[in-house]
Amino acid sequence: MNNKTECPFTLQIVSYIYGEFDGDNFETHLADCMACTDEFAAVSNARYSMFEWRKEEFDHLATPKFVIPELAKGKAAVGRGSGWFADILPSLSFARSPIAVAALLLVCLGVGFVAINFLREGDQQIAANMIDEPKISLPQRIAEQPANATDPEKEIDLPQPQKVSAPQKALPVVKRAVNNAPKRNQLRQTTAQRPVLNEFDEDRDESIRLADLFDEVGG
Amino acid sequence: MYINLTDEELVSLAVSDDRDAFGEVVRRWERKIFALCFGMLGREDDAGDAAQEAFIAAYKNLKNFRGEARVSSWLHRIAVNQCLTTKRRQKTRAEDFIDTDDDSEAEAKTFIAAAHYSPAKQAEKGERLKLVRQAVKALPGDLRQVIVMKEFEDMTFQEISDTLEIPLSTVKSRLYTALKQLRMRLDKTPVEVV
Repeated sequence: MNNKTECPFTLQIVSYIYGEFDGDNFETHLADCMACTDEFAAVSNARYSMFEWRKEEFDHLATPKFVIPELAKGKAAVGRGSGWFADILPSLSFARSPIAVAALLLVCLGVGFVAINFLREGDQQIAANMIDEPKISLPQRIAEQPANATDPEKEIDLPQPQKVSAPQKALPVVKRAVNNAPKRNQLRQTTAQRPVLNEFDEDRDESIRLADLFDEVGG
Repeated sequence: MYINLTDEELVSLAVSDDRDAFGEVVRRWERKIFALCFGMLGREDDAGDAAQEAFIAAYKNLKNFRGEARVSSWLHRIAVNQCLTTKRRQKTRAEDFIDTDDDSEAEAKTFIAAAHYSPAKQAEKGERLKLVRQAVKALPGDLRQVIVMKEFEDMTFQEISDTLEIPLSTVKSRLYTALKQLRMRLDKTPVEVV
């Protein structure tokens, strides 16, 4: 039998040897074709030599541990960012320089001490500015003058504190009028005339008072 | 005494109940038959069992060898059939016991086992590994690339094709060519019939 005859199944030997051939027709053919059988044996022998070589000289080798310095640096840089601070930060790590850490702590304490003192001075100045300001007391008309409670016309003298020199921020205008939307000019005027507690003008107060009710009931 | 005889002469002596002659046949072809079984079954233990059974079957059927084909081809055919039987057995998961004579099986084991663990065999193995290393190194780059990816990285044909950006058929063709070249470089058995 001519073993050098090219068989159409010859090229499928490799697929079959490596287990990537689907189908029973090759096996059936292999049992009947001497040429393919011999070729299969020869290729299998070479393949097994490779397998044996790998098993004897490679498989027992332990996988070495690979350390890539660039990767290690890259991971550290990603966590801390870039710049001069990132560059000096490694030198400030606890493991490397405890003295540097101690110095940093001392600096932080010093800065904190200075900041606290500065704030205290600021508080003192504020307190000094507030000494001349009169104390604002609540109206005593109800407690001290019960007899005059029914007299809505009696004026109560409220202390007139000095205006605070600090500029007041313009507060947003909240309009409660329902019928007519005020114009802008009126809004500005209203904002400018917005009553402040220490400048309360009783004549402008049109809300219902308890005294008014008593007046109506008492007759 | 048997080293200088051809395979056909050894088989003729074995037919005449010369067991040592058949032992020499086994010694010459055990590795290649084992490799063939490994190529069909994919596992060393299964391949060993199949090769064992193939030699037992060959010993039993010595009288049926007519000399129309080479002894190697005859052994290959027996091994292939044995492997196909093993695969069918594994598929159906049925326990088919080989109807073998315990004595003949023991004799066959003697043919194989006695030579397997000998120091000469170990030395031959070391020499063979050295040859494999040199043969792989001597392969052209494109062939070596494919065979290393297949054997050492266990990549599928499709994965090799995608990695190297070559057609699937080219991968198989290169692998086949690489294995054939390896076979040519490794075949240094004096009685090997070309």
